[in-house]
Amino acid sequence: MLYAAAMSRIGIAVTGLGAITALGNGANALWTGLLEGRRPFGPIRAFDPGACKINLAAEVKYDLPQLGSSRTANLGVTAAREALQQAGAVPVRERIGLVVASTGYGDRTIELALAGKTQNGLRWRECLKGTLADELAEILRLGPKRQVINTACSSGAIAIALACDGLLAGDYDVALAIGCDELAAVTYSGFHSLRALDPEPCRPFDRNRRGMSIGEGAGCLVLERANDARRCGKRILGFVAGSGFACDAHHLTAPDPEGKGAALSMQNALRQAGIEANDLGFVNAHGTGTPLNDAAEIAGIERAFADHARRCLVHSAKASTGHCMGAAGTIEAVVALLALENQMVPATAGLIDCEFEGHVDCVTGHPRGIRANFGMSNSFGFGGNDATLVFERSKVPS
Amino acid sequence: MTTAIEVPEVVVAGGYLYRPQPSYFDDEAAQQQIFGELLGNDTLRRLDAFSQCALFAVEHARRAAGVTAPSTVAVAERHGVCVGTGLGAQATRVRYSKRLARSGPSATNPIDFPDSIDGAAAAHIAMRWGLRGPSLTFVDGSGTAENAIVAACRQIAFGRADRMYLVVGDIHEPWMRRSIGETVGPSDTPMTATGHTPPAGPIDAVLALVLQILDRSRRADDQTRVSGFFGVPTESEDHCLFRDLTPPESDRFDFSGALQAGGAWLEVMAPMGSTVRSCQDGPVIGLCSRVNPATHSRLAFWRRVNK
Repeated sequence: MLYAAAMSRIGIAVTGLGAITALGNGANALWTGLLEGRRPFGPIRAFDPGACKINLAAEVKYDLPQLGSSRTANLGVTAAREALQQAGAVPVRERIGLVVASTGYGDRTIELALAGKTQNGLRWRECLKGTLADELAEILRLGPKRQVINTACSSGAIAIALACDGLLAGDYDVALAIGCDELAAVTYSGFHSLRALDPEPCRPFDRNRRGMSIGEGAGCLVLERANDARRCGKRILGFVAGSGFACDAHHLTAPDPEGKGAALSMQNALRQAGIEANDLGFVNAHGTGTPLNDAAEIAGIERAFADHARRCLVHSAKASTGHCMGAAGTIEAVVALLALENQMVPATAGLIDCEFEGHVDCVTGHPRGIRANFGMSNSFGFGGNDATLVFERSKVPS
Repeated sequence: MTTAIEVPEVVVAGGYLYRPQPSYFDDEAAQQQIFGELLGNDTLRRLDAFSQCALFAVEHARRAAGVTAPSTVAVAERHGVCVGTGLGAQATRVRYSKRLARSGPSATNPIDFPDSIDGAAAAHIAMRWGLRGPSLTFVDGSGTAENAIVAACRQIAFGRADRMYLVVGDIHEPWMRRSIGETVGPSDTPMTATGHTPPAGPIDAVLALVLQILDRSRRADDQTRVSGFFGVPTESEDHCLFRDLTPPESDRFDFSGALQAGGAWLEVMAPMGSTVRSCQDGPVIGLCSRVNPATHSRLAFWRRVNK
């Protein structure tokens, strides 16, 4: 059996969801916040943005449990606990795999050590992202099988795909894919120096968009082989039907303006899922709000979907959550699964004058009802890293 | 629960170890070699040290594999890159953070930020050779080499790519080197594969391998310089997976580099928990496991150290 066939025949079920974002703690808070079109952006409290001309981000206001050594770990633990609780009983810890996505873990440690704000100088182990996985595994009482991926902003989506690979290969029986990132001065000032930040809350796909807004948070999916989940009587929230990877091989920060890499990623995901573009109910776009990224993504959708592109519902969750970096892919996977479950696509908050009218069908104003079994989520990152996930609705009413 | 997935065999077509002595930042000759042979322009010269070394190692691994022709678009879509690094672009990240801490955001160089991400090396490799397939970067600390090798093989075995450029290694920024050196003394460092106690602190090394799908329709000696296999360890005489199909050739492309790389990598990662195992013929190095989902066997990328 080839991999794509294995994916469809064995099936990877999602049995737990967890999320924490500026919209609130919990997947439910994320979903209702998106449906209401909330925009929880405000001045930064986590650090002093200093000379940055823009001082705006989507910060998590929830009091996090202080279980880990960093805010990133605490965000990850919070989302994972919610997902694990929903998934119910899990096997012995040795059979649970952990795939973590994070882009900024360790930067804060370097920052504090350089500023002379640590007592013992540089605690170098805390600079290694592997330490984050060790910490999460210890707090959540997981086994030794763990991976940490950092492919910039596509990390979260790739973590989910790699967790599926591990399940199909039999590495473990249950997998946690966690994406987590805190708001960090290095990241914020980096995007600021690239002039990629919008002085107002971001407006993906809007003609007047000027850039992204950074957020923080975590998302978590508990994944199991579908047969195993059914045998255990688990409630299945949806399926990971396929995944696609590609690289623009174009520029370190700018996307390929023709969207070739994005299109290839979407086509690969559709191929693996064994479906056509017109089977999709919506695309949860990467949709950062930067002029180049949004245009390239729409070009990619048109290239991949051909005639169906114009009828394809497109929305961006980042207009409400901000861009949560390594967590974005997992948070938006939660959104895509909830959209399929509720048969509803949230509108892109702040989108008033859509630049891509006639190219795709951007959801504006109010959520749109759908009748679809499949949805797609895109995540693209620096270095031209493109990752696409296709989710399938659970056939069993929840 | 077993999952039988048919997978093609993944072969190692070529490899190269770059290991500056004593370290990249102290070894001016090694830097000159990189700049002279590969990075002969200012743009590349500004890249992070790890990216430079990764590009250098991949260039040599490609030569070792006999990959010289540029890829067509269709082929490039099936070629990807996978990087495993504990530290990534740390030198640039530290430089960026220092400027930020001392002088604020306005003093930072916009180019430094994207070049400071862990995935920068993979991005530069993909851009240089037009690789449009999967681009992955693992940052697992002690497990990063294993995870990157397994993931690279799986991209091929699961049909996402026909060829993967694998890079594993680390280049230590001096500040970090000092910090690690202070905490990892000779007394608690394990023995290396060759039986020597490594020096305190980390060692710079970058290994590049060209992994590709085995074309069974072609004769083995007609393959692109197949030098090794990922497969099941056996109790056979070889007891390892580096079955050299063309032994006389293998010396020429210096696939003993894999051996050195294993040793070097072991030394790099030894303080973080890599292992040396024993077999009947002496110690072997183990770099990865579980690469073949078809068999569920514990697979490995082995090479007898003293062969």
